[in-house]
Amino acid sequence: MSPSSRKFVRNLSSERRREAIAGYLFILPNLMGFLLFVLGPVIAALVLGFVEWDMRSSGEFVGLANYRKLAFEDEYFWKYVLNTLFLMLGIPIGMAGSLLLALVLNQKIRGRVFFRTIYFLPTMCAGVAIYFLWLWLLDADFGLVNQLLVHLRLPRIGWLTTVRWAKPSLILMGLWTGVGGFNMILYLAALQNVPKHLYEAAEIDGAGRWRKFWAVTWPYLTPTTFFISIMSIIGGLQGGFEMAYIMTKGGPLGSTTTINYYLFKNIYDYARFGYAASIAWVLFLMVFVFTLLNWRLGGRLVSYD
Amino acid sequence: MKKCKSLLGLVVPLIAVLLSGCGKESTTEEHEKLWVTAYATTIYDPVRRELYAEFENTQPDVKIDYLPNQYGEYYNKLTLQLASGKAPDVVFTENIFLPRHARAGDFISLDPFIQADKDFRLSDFHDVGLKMYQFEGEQYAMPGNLAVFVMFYNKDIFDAEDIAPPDETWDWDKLLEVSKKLTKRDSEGNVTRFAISPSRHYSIFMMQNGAKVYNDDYAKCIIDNEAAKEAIQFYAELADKHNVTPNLSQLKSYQTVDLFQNGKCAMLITGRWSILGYRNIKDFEWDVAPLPHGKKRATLLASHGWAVSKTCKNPKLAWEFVKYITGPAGARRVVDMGDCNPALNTLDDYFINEATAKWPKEKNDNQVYVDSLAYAYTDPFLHPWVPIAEIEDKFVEKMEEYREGEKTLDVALREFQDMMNKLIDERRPKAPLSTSKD
Repeated sequence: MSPSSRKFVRNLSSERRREAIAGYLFILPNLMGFLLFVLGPVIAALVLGFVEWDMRSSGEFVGLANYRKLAFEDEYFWKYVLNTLFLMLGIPIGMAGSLLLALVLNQKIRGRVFFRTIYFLPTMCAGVAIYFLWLWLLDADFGLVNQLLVHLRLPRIGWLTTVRWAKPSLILMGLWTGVGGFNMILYLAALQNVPKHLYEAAEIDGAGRWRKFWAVTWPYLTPTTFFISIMSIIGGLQGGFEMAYIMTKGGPLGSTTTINYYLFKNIYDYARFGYAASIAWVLFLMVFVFTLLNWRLGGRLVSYD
Repeated sequence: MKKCKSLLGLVVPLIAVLLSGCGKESTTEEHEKLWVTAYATTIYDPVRRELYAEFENTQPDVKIDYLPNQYGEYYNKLTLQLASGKAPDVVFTENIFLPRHARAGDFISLDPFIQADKDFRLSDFHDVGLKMYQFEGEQYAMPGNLAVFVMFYNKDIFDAEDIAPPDETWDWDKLLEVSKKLTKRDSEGNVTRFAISPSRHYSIFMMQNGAKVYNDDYAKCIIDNEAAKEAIQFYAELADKHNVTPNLSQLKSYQTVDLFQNGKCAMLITGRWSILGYRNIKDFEWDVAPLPHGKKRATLLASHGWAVSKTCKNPKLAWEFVKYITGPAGARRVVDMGDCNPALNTLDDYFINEATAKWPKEKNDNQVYVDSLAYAYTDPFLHPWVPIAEIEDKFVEKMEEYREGEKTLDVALREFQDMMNKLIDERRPKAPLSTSKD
């Protein structure tokens, strides 16, 4: 224990001291888990980023060479960063969709519990099952989507096999899964916190539907929107791995390879352990900077009361 | 008092659990375990388990410790096991991975066992199979089978167009000539039937034109040569200029369809393992022919093999197992499954005659596979310390740039060669390879 906690414990009565020690013991397993499985590997990855090691005999200390290569010499890496950012375009669309659904399902329409359930169902399915489902739906020859197109006398589209359609297909799949999921629940909860009397006051002042939404509802939604946007951006920057691994293996000509999947390829296909670790840390720095920016700039737009 | 009881209640079961764990260890000390690893398929695994049981019968007090792995995960897991120093004793591997494993010292050289073993004759194996698992003159694994690339063709299409089926006299010009006749187009000019659907086309055409990728000691990439350019250009023209085989954008749309199986292409160059799927074809008659030749006769060879890892505590026992599973007993079972050529030349007759009792149509075909071995080689792109995945990714990317018209072939090939040379220098291992002769 640190000197301050020791002093803390010593200054307590014996009853409280026993409680304090018990408290420390209770969090000890969690703390050990964190140190062993989170902090330890993170520090190891930091060290690995300065080494080039192919997981065989000995690695070689190369200083900042991995980072320099990543920044200036790896033409693929920046392409994959753009891929990741493109796939994140689904975030604002998904948020708008979830908000729209929440607005609709917040009203006293018939069957709203039923609708809330079915919209939430995709979130409850195991991710891998959804990826396989869409892999077969989007199959260029036998998939149901293309069969529908053929039925409508339209040309078939290689959804996951052409460079032009691979990323949009993944965004659409993400929207199907995400809209109506946790974001909708969060928005529903926020909507139910809006005081009803404000709506009445607005109506008395002659506000129309749009004005009511903008002036009354939206301020109460800003904390939720802020939260969702930060979490989605953090997740989006790190994401795209399962889709690439299960559905496209990095995609036609690397068009669905994200930073995360590129990291995986560097470990298992290219045997560049040190380089992969440096990618991980660059990704961390990106997430850190984006979150910081989001916090500073977005924080100003949030109204709390 | 209350506290003591509850403490006892916690401690006693804990001690009991720990003791019971210790107890189990001692009863398994009687058997020596041989840890074998491989990736499992529904066809191979039952056969393998029979072989393991037979091997255990020949060796008292030995138990084979085997857990099947899924194909996708197998090599990832093996990488980690070898890196951690706790790897299985006997490892199933493929020829494309052997140079890197051998150079890194993952497998032990089998030469001392081969030389000490009086009943074992290396000459029973096809030389080309042995060579795939040799590195710097030492044998690092034994081949379990041989998968040679041949030409599958759709007999019905050839009969309908009244063209003689392919044979060993065909050269590149004849291939192009026949392909142009076999390609069918509809009224708008879209291709409805391709003539040929090759795979590993760059490697095969380059080998047939005598082009080399690396120099003899793998220290330099020398792919920027005229022979390689001619070969790549020949394939590129087949695809892009004459479109007798899918070009880049068509490949992206047809990736999920097996063109040959759907009758949408007349000829297919692929390895013998494809036959497992094609035996189910009912819509048309197909047959097998040797590949056409370029300036040289050459075809591609792939295979799986068994090696002994560096962490094995009892290499002599592991060698006995490798000998058994790649020897007549094991290899015969593999042939019975109807998969690839045997690596043992003593089983060639069996392969041609008796194993085809189940598939009488293929009796003549099997002679083609055996004959093709005479000019079969391993993939020229393999390198002892640069992973093949990295090489292939970069080569395909450069070739796409050339074929999409972004760069000329000269520029694209030179850029690839420069990239390869940089990779070769960057990734050269620092430690020299220690051999059994040291």
